[in-house]
Amino acid sequence: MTRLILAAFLIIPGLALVILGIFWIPYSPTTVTDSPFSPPSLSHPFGTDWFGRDVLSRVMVGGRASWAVATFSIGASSLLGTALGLGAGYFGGILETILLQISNGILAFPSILLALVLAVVLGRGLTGVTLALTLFNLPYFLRLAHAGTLSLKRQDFILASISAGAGPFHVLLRHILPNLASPLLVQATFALGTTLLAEASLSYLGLGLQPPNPSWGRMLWEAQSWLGQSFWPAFFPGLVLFSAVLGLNILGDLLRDLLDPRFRPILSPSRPPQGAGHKAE
Amino acid sequence: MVATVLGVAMAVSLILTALPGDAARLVVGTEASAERYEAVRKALRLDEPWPARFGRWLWNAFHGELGTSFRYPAFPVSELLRRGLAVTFPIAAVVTLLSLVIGVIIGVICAAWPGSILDLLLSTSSQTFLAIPEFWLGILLIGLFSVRLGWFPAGGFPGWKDNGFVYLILPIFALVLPRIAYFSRLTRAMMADVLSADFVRLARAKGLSEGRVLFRHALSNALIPLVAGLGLTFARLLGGALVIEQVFSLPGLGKLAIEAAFGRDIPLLLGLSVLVTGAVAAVSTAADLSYALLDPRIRQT
Repeated sequence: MTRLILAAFLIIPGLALVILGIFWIPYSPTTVTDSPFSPPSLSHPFGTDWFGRDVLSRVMVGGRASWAVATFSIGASSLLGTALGLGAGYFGGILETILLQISNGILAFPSILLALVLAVVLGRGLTGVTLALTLFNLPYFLRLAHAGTLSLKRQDFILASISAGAGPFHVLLRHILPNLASPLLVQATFALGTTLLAEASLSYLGLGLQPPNPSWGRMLWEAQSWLGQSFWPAFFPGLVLFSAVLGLNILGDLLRDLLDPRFRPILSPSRPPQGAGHKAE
Repeated sequence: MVATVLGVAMAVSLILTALPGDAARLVVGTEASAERYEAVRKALRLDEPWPARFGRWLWNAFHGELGTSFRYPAFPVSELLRRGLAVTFPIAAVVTLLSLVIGVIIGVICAAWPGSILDLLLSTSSQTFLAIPEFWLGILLIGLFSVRLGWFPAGGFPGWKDNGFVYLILPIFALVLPRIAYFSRLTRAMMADVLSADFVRLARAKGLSEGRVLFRHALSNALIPLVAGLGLTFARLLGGALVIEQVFSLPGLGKLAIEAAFGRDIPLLLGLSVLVTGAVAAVSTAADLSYALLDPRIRQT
């Protein structure tokens, strides 16, 4: 319960700012509103940047791209990855071999380098970044769904269903998928955090939305060269990103402890509920 | 292992060739005349079909020749990689070892006293450091230690002479913190499984000191995941520290990768991919082989 409150406390304010920013922002994110480098005050809660633009407004608008890219690419990669993983695990054959080989190839590549190369090739704008992050998340869902299907498909209730005449789609969607829903949900929660980070890293490197449109990563990149004048423009965009990722990690841990029977404290009394297991890679 | 590296090289080469965008255009610039563009295209051998180019690259690669960079025509790819490694390899090695040692010590202490203040501190702070954006941490460190206090330089790397290592302290610090959190969580979780096991109770009953019980008997159980984590951390750092290298403007492999990706430097990207995936493959093979040394139960099969 404490962890749920903590996670909500970390995720909701930042996300609410971003959603509010769709309808209303205090100042335009691209116009000069005050003297440069004002520290946080009532009229500028996050201060102003090197041009005198309001940092709060820029953070509110800048989060749109991060959240949109992250949710879209996690949605797409989880659906596609799960479908491919279920198919590969259930039917096996040459398809399984090819899909697993491709996944291993992708996983052998450092994730951020992969995202960078893909984004440069697919286009430096938001579409390229979204596609790159979708591809980069795909193997995780694929492998999870594949391994789960392999271990489930020999179990008695599946065999019973098959011998009662159920076709592969019925078995996959009605019996196997529901049993994999919890680990997939946990994976998606962690992946959402990682993808927010990856999106910000890519925009830090200059991909995605281009200036003067704000994005969290690009704001940090620009603020870095003004660190000598003011610390605040480099502080707040990172803080909002960090609290979202931390909240999602805590939420993921909580979901795993609640949903995954292997980590349920009742089965392993020696294991304290916190710190159980290690992060999904 | 060889198949993975070969497959990745093929995929990278194919993706960079097949998708829109033109390396020759990037090299000559948009103003150049059509003749000059054609000449460069020929010189870079971009006019040949892909199988011919990849075949020749492969043949040369087996002879230790990775070709010449498009962007830095004066340098062979292997020379650029060697220079990048000279910066990135020491960073990756120091970060991996430092975070392993500190992480294991913290993890063991926390596992020995579950629920203690230190343990609670670890479980909260490790979550924090695992979630903190590395580049933001780097910027905050620059803001505090370079701009405010003036203790360390804010970036760049002048080479190993003239106390070059002071330029690496902040980047190493920024990379080590999340990895300490990772290793301490891993150790803590593996140790928690065995601390109530019979062989640990026996070791205590024999009158062994608590330190010996924890570090010799219980920690053995965590060795295999730790070795796997160690290898993966190191290999990932070789090619994956690129954002931190950009924050601190270090001329390592990461910086090279960013330039190569933006400039569509196909030979350089190919060389980098082969190096990095080769490192991942080699490290995981080495880790697999070491399991037999670490765990007698594996030796029998």
